[in-house]
Amino acid sequence: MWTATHIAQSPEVAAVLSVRRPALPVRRLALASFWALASLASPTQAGPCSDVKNAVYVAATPAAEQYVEKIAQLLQLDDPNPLPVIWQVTSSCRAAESVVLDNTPSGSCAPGACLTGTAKVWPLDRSPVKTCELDNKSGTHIHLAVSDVFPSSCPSLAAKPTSGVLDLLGPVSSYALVMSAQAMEGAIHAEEAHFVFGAGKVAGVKPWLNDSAVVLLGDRDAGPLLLAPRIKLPIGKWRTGRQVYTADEVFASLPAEPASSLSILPTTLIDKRRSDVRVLGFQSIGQHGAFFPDRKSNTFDKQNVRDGHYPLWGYMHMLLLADPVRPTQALSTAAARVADILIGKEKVATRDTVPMQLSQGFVPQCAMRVAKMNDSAPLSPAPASNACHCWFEKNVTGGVLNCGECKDGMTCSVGTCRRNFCEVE
Amino acid sequence: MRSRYHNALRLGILGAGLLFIASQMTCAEVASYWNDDNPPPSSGDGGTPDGGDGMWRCFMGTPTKEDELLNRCTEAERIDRPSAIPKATWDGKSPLPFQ
Repeated sequence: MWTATHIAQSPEVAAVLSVRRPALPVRRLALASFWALASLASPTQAGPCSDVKNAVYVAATPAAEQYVEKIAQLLQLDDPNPLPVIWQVTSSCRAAESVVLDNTPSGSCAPGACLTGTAKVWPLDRSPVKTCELDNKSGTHIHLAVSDVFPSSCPSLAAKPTSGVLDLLGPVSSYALVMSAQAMEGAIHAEEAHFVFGAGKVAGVKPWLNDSAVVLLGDRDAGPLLLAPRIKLPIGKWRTGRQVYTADEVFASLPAEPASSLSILPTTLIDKRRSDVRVLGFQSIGQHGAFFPDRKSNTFDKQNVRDGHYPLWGYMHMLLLADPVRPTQALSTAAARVADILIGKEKVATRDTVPMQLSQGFVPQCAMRVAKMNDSAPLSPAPASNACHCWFEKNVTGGVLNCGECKDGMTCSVGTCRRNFCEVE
Repeated sequence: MRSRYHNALRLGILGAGLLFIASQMTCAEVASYWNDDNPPPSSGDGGTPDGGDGMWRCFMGTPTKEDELLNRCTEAERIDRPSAIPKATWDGKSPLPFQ
């Protein structure tokens, strides 16, 4: 147990405090005390998350983990108005359920709401991320869910009205079917995927003839949920796929069966490990040829996601409970602030977060030319009102650079100056 | 003087060659165009993706629907291969079985 006496006696705390400004906010001081002490504990012994006061609890899809981690670090350690964020990585639907099913946000947890288990938080001494334990008896209320699918795509929420929940759309998160890096296949047709996931090896679709080599993160993961409508295979009819529980397990499983392995992962994770997997082009039903998320297999421009040639993507949704009295506002203003930062509406530590979305592998909405109403809806043309295609291409590996610059922030002979590039759309 | 004449001749030949190549590209693009009055061959659930003649019929107009977006002409890398589904499993025309 970490007590105030321990905190006062701790030389580590004194060291932490001595390098900080004397007028530290009380919240930051309490956090410093807690985590300095926590650093003395055994690495395997995580303290209760409830020891961090006034924290925003976030449940996040694996696609967003590194982005949430980065935002949490800046918000807690570098922002003039620091706010501790505690996050747990879970499937998109589990994250959504934890908020959407929370009918008693200030009472005991409703069935399906809240989360238990281990979560993560940044220590104030800038040491690596630490773990803490959520309330494993009665569950911890989650203030913000970060999901890659619309709540209606989750089987458990399909019939549930989402009134009382705010759904803010953030950047686009794309997914790709992947094989082992040693695989020879270059693409998969939607119809082939229908049989591979719906029937398995009996369908005889080469090279996917080994059911145990198909690994999935479960039917509440955004990957299968975004793929299902595209291959006309409802999530309840998937027959193939050995379940694993983390993306790292997927990466580790694929090389075991290099010729027949298959999985689906977010490109935010794939792009950081391109040499570990083979990304398959995807040919939609009615499409003439298969396309990668990017213009080429070795670029990072998400051109085909952005212009409608590649449909395996979802919006990064921020799900928050609405205030019953003011239904257009979030019940938790602190959680709403974190959501606004994640979608790029608000800065963190004076930094614009839209470039962070890009660097984490997401496609900011200003770089999209298409949209969709829900995860099963067809793509439709949707030019962004604040288009940032030139800026996006300039900042990704392999982007096409054919735009004029406006370094003064305003002057373009053609187009409109945005983010120092002349956008013609 | 003679050198200038040769240079002009070279430029002329180059220009004529480029014009010829450009005219051929235009013809190919026009052949690949489709519109609502002349839609591409498609079986909905699969079938022959390219009209059966091996030519990619990409959409060159302003897309308004998903199939036009998916098949809009692009310089992006495109993988075109026949379906790997055995005929005994699916004929390529019937509705997909597990919908």
